[in-house]
Order: sequence, then structure tokens, then C-alpha cells
Amino acid sequence: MTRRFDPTLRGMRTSTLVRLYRIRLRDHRVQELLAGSGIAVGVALVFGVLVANTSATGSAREVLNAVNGSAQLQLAARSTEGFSEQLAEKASTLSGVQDSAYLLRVNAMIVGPSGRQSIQLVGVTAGLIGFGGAATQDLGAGEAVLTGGIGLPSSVGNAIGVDGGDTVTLLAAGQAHRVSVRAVFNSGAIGALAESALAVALLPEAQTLAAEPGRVTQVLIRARPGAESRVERELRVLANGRANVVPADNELRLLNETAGPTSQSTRLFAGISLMIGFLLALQAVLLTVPERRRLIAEMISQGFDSKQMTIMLIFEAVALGLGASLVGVALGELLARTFFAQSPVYLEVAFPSANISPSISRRS
Amino acid sequence: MSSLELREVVKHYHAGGEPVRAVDRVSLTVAPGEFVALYGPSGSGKTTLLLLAAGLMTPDAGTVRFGERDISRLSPNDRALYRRREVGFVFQSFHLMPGGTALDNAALKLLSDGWSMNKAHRAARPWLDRVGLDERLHHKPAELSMGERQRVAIARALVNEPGLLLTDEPTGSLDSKRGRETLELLREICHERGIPAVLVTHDPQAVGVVDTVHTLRDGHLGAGLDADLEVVWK
Repeated sequence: MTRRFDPTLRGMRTSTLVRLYRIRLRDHRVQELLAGSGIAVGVALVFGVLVANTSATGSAREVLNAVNGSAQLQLAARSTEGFSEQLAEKASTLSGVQDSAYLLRVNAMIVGPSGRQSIQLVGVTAGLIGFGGAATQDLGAGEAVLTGGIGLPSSVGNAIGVDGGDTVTLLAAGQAHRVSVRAVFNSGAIGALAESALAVALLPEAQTLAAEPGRVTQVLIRARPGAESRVERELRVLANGRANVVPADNELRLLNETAGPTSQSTRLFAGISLMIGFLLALQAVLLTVPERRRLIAEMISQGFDSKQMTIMLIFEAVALGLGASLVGVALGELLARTFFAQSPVYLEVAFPSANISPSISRRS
Repeated sequence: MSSLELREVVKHYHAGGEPVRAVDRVSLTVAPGEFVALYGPSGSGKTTLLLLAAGLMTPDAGTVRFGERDISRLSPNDRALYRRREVGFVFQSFHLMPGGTALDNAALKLLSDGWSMNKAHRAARPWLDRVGLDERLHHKPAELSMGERQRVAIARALVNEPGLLLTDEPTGSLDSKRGRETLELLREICHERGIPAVLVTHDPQAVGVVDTVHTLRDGHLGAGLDADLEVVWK
């Protein structure tokens, strides 16, 4: 005959503690439900807002990493006018630079049969592939794929109702252009970037569409090992006030700073949620205090000692807390996916290329 | 079998800043198999005396002995062990777990001593049979009559085969017939098992059931029944 694992705590079996709690639950369903609801609501709201908040910046980080890959530095334009391609070429030919890629990013509007969407038109060069970002690896044949048109992430393609081979209208720099959609990339090809509001074109094409010939807004750079500081110094000299020399993930840093007020408000909301949960649980506990006192007095008169009573009460509190917390986490996940899965409009406008919609789980 | 022996026991309370002598130099011996009733008006110190005997309180002076042991000198843990293994306690208001069955409630005491619930149920069952609840084992307190609830409390007090039975107004919530039956059951168990039993009561019909009667008045113990109490009951 096998013995069941049933450790004792101060002379009481764990199975006994479970049975006593079940007996209590039978008669105090409402109070325990109230206390459990308090904990679950508190946990759900806190978990929900924290997950949504963290995953919003997490998504942006994922997107930027997917594009920038191993880039360490960037030469970034100080305005939407960008800087000249010659400056970018000089930066690329610095002796310490191992890889570089030019980008042009301009705000635009894209119009398809099902609707329109604000996007960022991103002009890229083949050098981007060299950084090994997850979103650019399938663009190995990018030049062939994108030549003479644009590529769209699936979210934009779905939103405006177009697929590869269709033609859309692109509004940029006050001009309307009829542009061929050469490809629609899903998350399998470009990862989290598939959710971003952008359109990708080869740099010359993007420069034409944006009426910015010979201009770029960003140069991503990877320095040779050990040459990082020197490259940064040389870039600053080269830029000479015409562009900023900043880390490659500078956009993410800016996003974190800009999202500060949102984080503060969610922290406040989480705090209020915790307080509501605590009050609900406290209310439930207060309801049963007289009955609890009687039971404790009775159990002590029957030979339970004070430490056994403490263990029993802690066990019940932990069981209730754990059970309710699990429910709270599940509810929080649901909240994060539904009600809290919205990011502030000002962030969406400021960072159109970064996917700042919370991504609670990866879509296939 | 052991006897319960209280010697020169004193217990004070503080009420409104004034010390009150709840029990004043009380000496009492209850022999094995003896069923003793303590009568007295409210506030006379009856329940305090019972709590002292159960080790739920310690005296300010005097000794409380059960067998060879001075209960008042035991540590709190040893006093809990004494209650767990040697004392059976029955209250007027039963104090049953509302969510538990008669069997759960009767088995409660054994759970503090490392028994599994199933084993404790097996031990409690004969006692519930003994008090006539063999067909009410799985009923909850709310589904039992007052008398049945009191009998569950008696089974719970006896499930650990105690060496001392202490009962505080066990008939207080029962009608006269049920009260009489309960008292007779307690006497029967006390005699049959040869254990000392103390009954704190207001119930006049206890006089005809117990072996010895004492009266407590203002913390002082007297032998027999006070004349004025007899008059009131008659």
C-alpha cells in the first residue's frame, strides 16, 4: 500500500488543513467569494495595466531591434528635411565603420480600395540587410522585390484592402502618386514590423515619392570592434551640427520618455486598483471576524494551540490568495488583450514606424 | 483514573479598573467517576472555575491538579496538549463548525493531534452512535435540532477518550425533556468510564442527576445547594 505525501505542520496534516478550509468554504461561500473577488480584481487590474504598458514599449523595442539589428550608432536628421546623401556617404567611408545603411523616413498617407491610413514611408538601401535585423532578413532579394514600387506590412495591406500587385495612391510632400504594391509582408517575413504603420521602398524611389532627391534622414552604423568611440567622435566632427549622433535605439529612449505620463497614470491606476481589491478583501474579512473569533476560541478549547491556529489561518489566506491571484492573472491577461490594448494617440502619431500597440502574444 | 483537585484557587479580574475576585480560595476535589454540579447565579465564578480546570486560564494563587500534574504550572503548549488529550469540553452554545457535518465536528479534536480526517471520522463514528446520532452523521448543524447539536458537541468532547469531562451549561439551549436526557447521558458516560465530570449549570433538574452539588456565590464555594436557590426552583 502506498503512503500519500501528506506532511504535517505543527502536528496537523496538510490534508487536514485542506479539509478544514473546504468545510469553511461550504458555509462561507459568499464571504470567501467577496474576499477572492477583491484580490482577483486588484490583481487583474494591476496585471492588465502593467502588461499592456510593458508590452507597448516592448513591442516598439521588438520592432526597432528587428530593423536596426546590430547597428550601434546613427546619424539622425534634425528635421524632416534630413541631410544630404553626400554626408551619409562620408560617414559610411570612415575607417572605423564596418556596416552602414541609409534611410529616408517621411510621413505620408496611403489610400487603397478599403480605406486610407497614415504611414511612414521608409526608403532603405540594401545595406540594411547587413545589420542582421530579423525583419530585414527575408528582404535579401529586396531590390528585386521592391523595385518600381513599395512593400507594405500586412496590417497596412489589410487596413486599406490591397495585396501584392495592386496599385495604391500615396500622398507625400503635397503630391499624389499612383504606386504599385510589390509585396505585402506578414509577420512570418518581417516579424513584429508586420503590425507597423509604414511603407517600404528603395531609397531612390522613396526620395522621388517624397520629393527629397539626394536627401536621407538617418544613417545606421556599426563600428568595427574596438572602434566605437573613435567612430562616434569622427561622426560628431563630420556632422558638425547638421545631424545628431545618437545611439541606434535612440527612438526607443525617446519613446520611453514620451510614454512617461502614460506610465505614471497606469501606475496610479494600478495603485487605485490594488486599494479597491484590498478594501473588498478587508470588507469580507471584517464580515467574518466575530464568527472567526468564536471558532478560534472553540478550537483552542478543544486542544488546538495558538501556533496551529496561526498556521490554519495562514493556510486559508494563502489558499484564497493564490486561487484568487490565478483568476486575477487570467482576467488581467484578458483585460490587457481587450480594454487596455490601446496605445495613446499622441504616441502613435509621434512614433508611427514603431509598433507601440501592446502585443500580448505573437500573432501567427 | 485521575481525580481533579483544586486547592485554594484564587482568580482576579479587573472590571472598570477595580479588581474583582471571580474565584476566592476555592478548594474542590472531583473523584474518578464522580459527577459534580456547580450551581450559582450569573457572575458567581462557575465558568471561571471550569476554565481554570481546563487550563484555559491560570490561577493567581493556588493549584489546579489533574492526577499528578499541576495544570497551572504547565507551559501554554503543554496545557493545549492537556486539553487535546485529557479534557472533554462541552459548551452551552455548542460552537460547531457550520460548514461541517456531524462527523466532521465530532472528529475535530483529533485533527489537532495529527490524525487524518478519515481516521478521525472512524474514531468519531462510535461516539455519534453512542449519543444516538448514527443516522445523522452527514447532516450539518443547521439540519440538526438543538438537542442533536448538543449531542454532537458531547461526542466531540468524548472522541479523544478524555480523562476529565467539563461541561458549561450543556442544557441551557434545550427544552426540559432534552435537557434531562443530556444530563443522564453525561452521567452515564461519567460512571461508565470512571472519569471525573464537572457540570456548571442553572438547570434545577440536574440536582436529581448528579452525584454531588456545590454552590458558588461571589467566588466562594459552598457544599450543597443554597436554600434560596432551592426556594426559587421549588
